[in-house]
Amino acid sequence: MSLQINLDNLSSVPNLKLFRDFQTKELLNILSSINAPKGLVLDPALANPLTLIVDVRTLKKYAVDQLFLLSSKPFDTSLTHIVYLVRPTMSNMKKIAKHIHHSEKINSSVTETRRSNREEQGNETNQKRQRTNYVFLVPRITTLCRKLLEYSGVLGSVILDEYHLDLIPYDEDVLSLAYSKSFREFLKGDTSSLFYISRALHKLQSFVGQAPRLRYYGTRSKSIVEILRRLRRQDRREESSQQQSENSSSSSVIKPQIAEILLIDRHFDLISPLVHQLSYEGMLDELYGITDTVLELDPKILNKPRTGKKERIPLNSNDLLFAEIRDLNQSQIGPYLSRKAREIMGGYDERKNLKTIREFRNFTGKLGKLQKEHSSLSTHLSIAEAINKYAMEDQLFHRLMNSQLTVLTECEPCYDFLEELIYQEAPIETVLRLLCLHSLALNGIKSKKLDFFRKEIIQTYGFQHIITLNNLEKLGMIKKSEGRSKRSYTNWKKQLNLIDHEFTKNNGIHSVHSGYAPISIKLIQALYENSKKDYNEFIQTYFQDSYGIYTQSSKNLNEDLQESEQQNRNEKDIVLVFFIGGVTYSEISALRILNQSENLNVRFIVGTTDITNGDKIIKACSKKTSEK
Amino acid sequence: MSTYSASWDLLHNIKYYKQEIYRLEETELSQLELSGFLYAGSKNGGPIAFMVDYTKAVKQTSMILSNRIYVFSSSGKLLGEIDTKDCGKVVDIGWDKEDRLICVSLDSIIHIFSMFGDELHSITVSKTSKMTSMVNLCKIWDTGVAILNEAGDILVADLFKKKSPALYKTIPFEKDIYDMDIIPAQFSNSRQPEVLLCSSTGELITCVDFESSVEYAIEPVVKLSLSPSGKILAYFTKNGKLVVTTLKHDQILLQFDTKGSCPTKLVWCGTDSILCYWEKKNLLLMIGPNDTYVQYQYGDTICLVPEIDGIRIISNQTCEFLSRVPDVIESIFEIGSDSPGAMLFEANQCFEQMDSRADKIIRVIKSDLSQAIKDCLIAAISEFDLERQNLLIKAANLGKTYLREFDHGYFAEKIKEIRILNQIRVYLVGIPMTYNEYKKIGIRNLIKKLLNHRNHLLAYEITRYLKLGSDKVLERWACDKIRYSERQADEDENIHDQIMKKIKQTKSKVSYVKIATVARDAGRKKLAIKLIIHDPRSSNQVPLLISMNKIEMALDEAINSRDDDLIYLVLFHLLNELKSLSITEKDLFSKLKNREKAIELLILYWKKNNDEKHLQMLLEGLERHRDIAALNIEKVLESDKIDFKTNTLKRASGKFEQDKNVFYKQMCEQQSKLIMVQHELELKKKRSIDFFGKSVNETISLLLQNRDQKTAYKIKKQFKVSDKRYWWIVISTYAKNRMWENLSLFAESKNSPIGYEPFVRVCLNQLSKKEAARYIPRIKNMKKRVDFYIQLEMFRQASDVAGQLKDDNILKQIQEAKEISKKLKKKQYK
Repeated sequence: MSLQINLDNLSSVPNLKLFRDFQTKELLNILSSINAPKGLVLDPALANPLTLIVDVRTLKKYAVDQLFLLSSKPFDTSLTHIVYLVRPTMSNMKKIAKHIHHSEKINSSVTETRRSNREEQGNETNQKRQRTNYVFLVPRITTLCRKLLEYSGVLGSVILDEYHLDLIPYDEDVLSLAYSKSFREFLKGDTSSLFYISRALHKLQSFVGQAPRLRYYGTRSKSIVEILRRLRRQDRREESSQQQSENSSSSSVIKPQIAEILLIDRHFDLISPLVHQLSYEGMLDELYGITDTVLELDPKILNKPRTGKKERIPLNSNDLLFAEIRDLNQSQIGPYLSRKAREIMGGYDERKNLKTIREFRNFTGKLGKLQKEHSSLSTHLSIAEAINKYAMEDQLFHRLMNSQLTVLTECEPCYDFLEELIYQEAPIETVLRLLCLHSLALNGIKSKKLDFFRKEIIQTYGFQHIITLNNLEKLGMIKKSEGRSKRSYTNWKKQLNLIDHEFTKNNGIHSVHSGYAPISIKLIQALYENSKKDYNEFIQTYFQDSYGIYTQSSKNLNEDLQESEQQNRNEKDIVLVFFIGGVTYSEISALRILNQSENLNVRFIVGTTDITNGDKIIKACSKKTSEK
Repeated sequence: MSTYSASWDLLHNIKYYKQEIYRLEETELSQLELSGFLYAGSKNGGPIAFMVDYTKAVKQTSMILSNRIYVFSSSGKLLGEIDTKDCGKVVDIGWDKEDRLICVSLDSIIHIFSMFGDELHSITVSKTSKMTSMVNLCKIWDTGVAILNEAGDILVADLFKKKSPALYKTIPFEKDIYDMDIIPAQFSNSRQPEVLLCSSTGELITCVDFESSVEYAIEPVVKLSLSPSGKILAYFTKNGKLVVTTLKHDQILLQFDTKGSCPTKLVWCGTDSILCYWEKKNLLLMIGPNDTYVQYQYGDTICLVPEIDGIRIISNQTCEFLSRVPDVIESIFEIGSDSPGAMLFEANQCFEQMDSRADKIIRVIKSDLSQAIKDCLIAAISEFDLERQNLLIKAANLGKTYLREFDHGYFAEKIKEIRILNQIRVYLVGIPMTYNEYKKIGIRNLIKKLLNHRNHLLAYEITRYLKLGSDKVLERWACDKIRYSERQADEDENIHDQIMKKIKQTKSKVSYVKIATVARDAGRKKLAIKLIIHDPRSSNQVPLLISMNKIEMALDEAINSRDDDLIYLVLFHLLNELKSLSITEKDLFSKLKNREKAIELLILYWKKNNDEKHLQMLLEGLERHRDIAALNIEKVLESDKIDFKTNTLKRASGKFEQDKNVFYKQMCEQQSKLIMVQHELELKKKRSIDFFGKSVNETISLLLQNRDQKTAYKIKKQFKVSDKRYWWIVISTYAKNRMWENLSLFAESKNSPIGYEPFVRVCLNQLSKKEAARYIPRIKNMKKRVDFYIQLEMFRQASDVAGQLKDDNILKQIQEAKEISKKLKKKQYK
């Protein structure tokens, strides 16, 4: 079963197939350039994303005989060509160095034992047994890694190169860098991901055309626009010199399929990911965790026999039924699926009324689709049942949802519940999410209360959480209350209409959190929707000088744009919304719901560093359990 | 014109002619006494190098020094002088395809010079890095050098690939090797250069890598020469025979007895004839198939430079070119020729003389006119003689006026080629390239060649003339400008302005990093810095700035680019300097001052690399107390030594105090206390319980599990655990460990500050309905009681409570729940 999203629909805009194929081909070229059976060692952080680019069977075809996950434990293999495909991190380099030292040690001992019968064997055979190590860094070689390999004395024994995998199509409308560290990096002041993001966006645009407009909100967004402009400038300088001589097939020739790139800094809306997601896909992520579009479930949930292995369910729009339900509020899933079940049964029942041969033929034609839907239906019915059971029976869940909504709606604290969560020793992530939500929505927590909670948390969950708390404070997610500021949540709530209790009736984006709409998405809606309300002043006070729009001034481009606009007058302009620091499934769902709206003359697609949720954000702030 | 063809020589059925290209009297070249020199000429009309041959004792004029190499253009202009006193004893000289002079010294070192005498680099050719052997024989060709040394090793160096010279076979000592030649990679089967050797025993050995094959010649061979096509081998035997065979030795193509001794030179003239030159007799013998030959007697020593289609012959008087007569020339100029080309040429002669026959002739060849025009054009290109060339062009032009449909583009293209070739052949430039060579190397290599000859202006004009990109030409000009201009202090500004002016004028896109690197290598740092800031890529700027030790500039550029990798590049440079003690920490920090981004990355690196000493130092200097505290706490968490932990906590709490963070300070102190208390407890309990790393809650819970309620309560007091939390800890611990009796006793002990609902819940969490039911009556909220009873399916009790509440709705609810539960049970039984 392929986990890749099918991008063969040529009419879809922007067309991401070429873009993905290019990255696949680059990997295959790397593999075929090493003309020998080889072992591929994958960074665990890359293993899943890679399945969206290439499947194991293709790897086999390219003489990948063994697959390993990179760990600090060296492995033994008889293969002489080892290809490491890893992120350029310090810990990865240390592991690789360890592996190489290990294999060299083995090798020298082999040489030792063979020395006695060297005459017969000749020393060439010994040389052949030596491993050739290739290290491909994704998406690029960094000075840091090169130096680390050098300092560990293995730079000479590896062939160092890079594989430029960056944006991976998760779905027809979602692109991700699968770079889960970006949030953690921001915390530490490491902004290397900004450069990666810019380069990735730059590369994407060489496939789908230079977006004529760049819009940015937040300081990091602004930085990216600056880097992007720099990259464009470099390109233009170098291009024009190339054009004179040989190839004139430059990227600026491609008509832009994306009209605008909107950059959103996660830091500006830290509230939304903290709120428990209640869209179907969001809920699945919260309860079971979705890794790179794949949901791994205990077979028991799917009413299948236990095999010791988890069931892998790809979640993307290839599954037509899933595409219909992923954005719905979890409470709507049950009724929707039972209606769907009746429909499918009705489909099967058609066969009873078949008379002519043509009717039979038509029916058998439909049968395949029907069966596919049927199997998908039974999967989602089982999952929905499990979710429902959880929502009904977990005594804390219901109260947690209520108190969240109370905090967000009334801007009143629910300290008693928070206290009880701690006493019941609920997961630390749940506790801290609610604590941060209090602090962010109420614009701080009273000093005495804050000290109380911090002490309860440290005494209950352990001293290591002094680090977590310190980090959250550094990020401003927890703070002591101050006077009201204009940038406070209440202001957002008032301006952007964040709360709607009648969400089921109104089919609005409030459904993704059962009443609360993400600030990030509400801002986007405000920016693009034809509305009488003027948000300018409000946005100005919030973002000050870190927002704006940059328009590509190139003459040709405008002409191109006009032309393409004339061509597809009926088509909506595409806006790529890029979230720096992660986006939640609920936010993606909310954007999809916005796409249905008639008040918008643009269509959104999503780009992100990674898919996040509240638990992941809290974990990013916690002390990493040291791996040794 | 008849006189022209009269001077042609016939060899078998092929005509040869000598064309004079330059007259060399009065030139610098005419001053040399050629017989006393070792020389080498570069292909494609390239320069010729002369070096005094120390094996001959010929008296030279006083200007000539024996340890110098003199480089001349074919037109006799002295281009450069090379002092070889640092090269040791030079045994052979030659040229590579980019007109660089290759000198092989006796101790197996290859020195590479520009034709103007700048040493570019050198390569040591030896089997092991330590030992070098004396050169026995060597062969230089356009991409490499092969050396047979006195140890018998054959080593092949590739001048265009960055790899160490390859060791081929080792030849046993007893064999005397007379001559060596090369089958270049593009002709060999192995796609590697193969080495051909001839030995005293008549063996012809072909070597590549460790492989070799041996063929036997008819007699011992003293000289070898491979044809320009790479397919045919000519060799000269000890007994004066010249033999030509295929390279596979499966066919002898020619055998000619010269009855002479070993010639000074054995070279090919094109691919159809071989030249033997005996310097002593000044005799040049051209030998063709079927025992045909032509003899040229010279009055003085000549130098031979083989080209792909002929041979350049240089004497003190002239530079000539001996080659086959091209077919078109032959067809036009041969006496009595009636080819269309010849007719057109004749028509033009008549036309010039206003003779009406011109028109008639053209009408006769009308059907072949197009071919005639083409022939005249090609003939014009092949001609070195400008007068004849001019006549040929005129003839073609005349023909064209009669043939409107003639491809104008083709005509223009040929004229352009003629103009370009004429331009490079003029005396001043002195590159007598033939048309065949031009076609073979192409316009781009021609321009490269001009640049190698430092004819920047001509190269530029040609690129403009042909509408080719002139960026590379300008770039090279700028580089050479920097390399070779006067070194004066105030020149930098001037050169920079000149270069920038030209670049702006011509709107060229050049690689500034390349130009700036040249400036740096020429020791013009200031100029390099001025130039590099024009480069649009920070990734180009930063490394160069670092290499010139402009660290602050590099840092700012890196920070500006927002590419962390570039910042790291600078940081690592600084860290290396720190390591090698060329700078101190103080220098480092002062360089980083106010460069936040760089500081952040350095902190990150030191943190990940556990360089605590430096990290503390840096953070201390920045007064980032809170970060130091956090750092210390991380150390605490990673350590398992109590003393270390408490000491480090003390430091952390001190830092928090400096940061005026009272709460965290207290937390650190408390943690310290906890560790001590836990330690004492462990000792007391004789280490039966492991408290290590446990939180306050967990500590209390562990004590309760071990039924030490007294100490548990003591800890509660000590750490000011609230009653509420304490109660929760107690009941969860008891429930989890199914200590029901304790739970029950505890429930009785006091009035619960958390009510009794939690009691029910903790029991339910352990799936103990019986225990849970025990505490339901104590719940104050009656509705809650009902709910729990329903959950436990105790419908009777639920109804009782509901009865007290007198609420019909609740009763109904109970009824419904009861029925659902019945149904479910039935289902299970089925």
